[in-house]
Amino acid sequence: MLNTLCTSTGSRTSSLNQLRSQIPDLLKPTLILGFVLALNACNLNASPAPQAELSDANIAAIVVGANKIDITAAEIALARSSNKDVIQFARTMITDHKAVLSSAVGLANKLELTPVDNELVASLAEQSRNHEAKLKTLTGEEFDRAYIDHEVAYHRAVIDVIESQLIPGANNAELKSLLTSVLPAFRAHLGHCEQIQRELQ
Amino acid sequence: MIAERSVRPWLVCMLLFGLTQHTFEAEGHDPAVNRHHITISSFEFRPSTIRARPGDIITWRNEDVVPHSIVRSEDAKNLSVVLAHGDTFTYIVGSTMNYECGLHSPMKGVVIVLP
Repeated sequence: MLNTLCTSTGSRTSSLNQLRSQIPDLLKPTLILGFVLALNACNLNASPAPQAELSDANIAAIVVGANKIDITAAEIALARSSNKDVIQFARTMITDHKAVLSSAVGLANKLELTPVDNELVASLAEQSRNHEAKLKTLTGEEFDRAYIDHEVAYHRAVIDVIESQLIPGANNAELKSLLTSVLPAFRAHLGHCEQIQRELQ
Repeated sequence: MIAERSVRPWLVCMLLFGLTQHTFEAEGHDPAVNRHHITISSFEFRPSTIRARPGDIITWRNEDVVPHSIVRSEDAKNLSVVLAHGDTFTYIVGSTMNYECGLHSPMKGVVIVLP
């Protein structure tokens, strides 16, 4: 369901541009966050705010938060799933996102960038907690589908926001380079979970 | 006895020279051995196909942020440990083999041994 709602965003561009001008500035960070998370289809449909609103500290916070969320979800999957493909995927998510997280934290330290504990991060944490709570109520195939469907939507949204918002918005060249270098990993993850999604249907 | 003592430094020198030669060859400077370099980047082995002769040396270097490994496809044998960013793995070519990343199976490569 969520997966279906996350597709075909291109046709909405013109209307969303009109919508963007009507959005109060204070709400734009929330819309960016919704775009990153893909946990709420309405937020996902909303076009992201102008790039200038993201500082490098904001971007660092988003990268760190987004990776932590996927690691936590994968740890839940390892504890609850008995599907070997889902388990393998979850292991890969933990390994890869820990590596990306480590690189992001290392770069943030090097650049003396303190990820800002702002509205974005708070909402990110809250929505991830809701998703994790939902996952913990599910078992068997129902769990596998919910986890994988979410991973598909999540990776699509993350790839989209990295390409359209974070890379163009990053001021520091090393941060921009890191964001660019993680894209192939996220695309590979998307291909992997889409394959599992087809097998689960 | 005197003759023996005068010979010893030469023996030591020859021994050291021999060891140096041995080390030199073991490090792969033998001109008969070709070296091949494969970069792991953007979830691809570049180049993905290597044509080599038995005894040639292949070195993989992981330039991705995420870890990768080298697994022989035919028998799923782990050839390398998990390679973090910047790590390298060296392999002496034996026979033709297909290989893949042990962590991301869509990543594939092949080593073709020339006659």
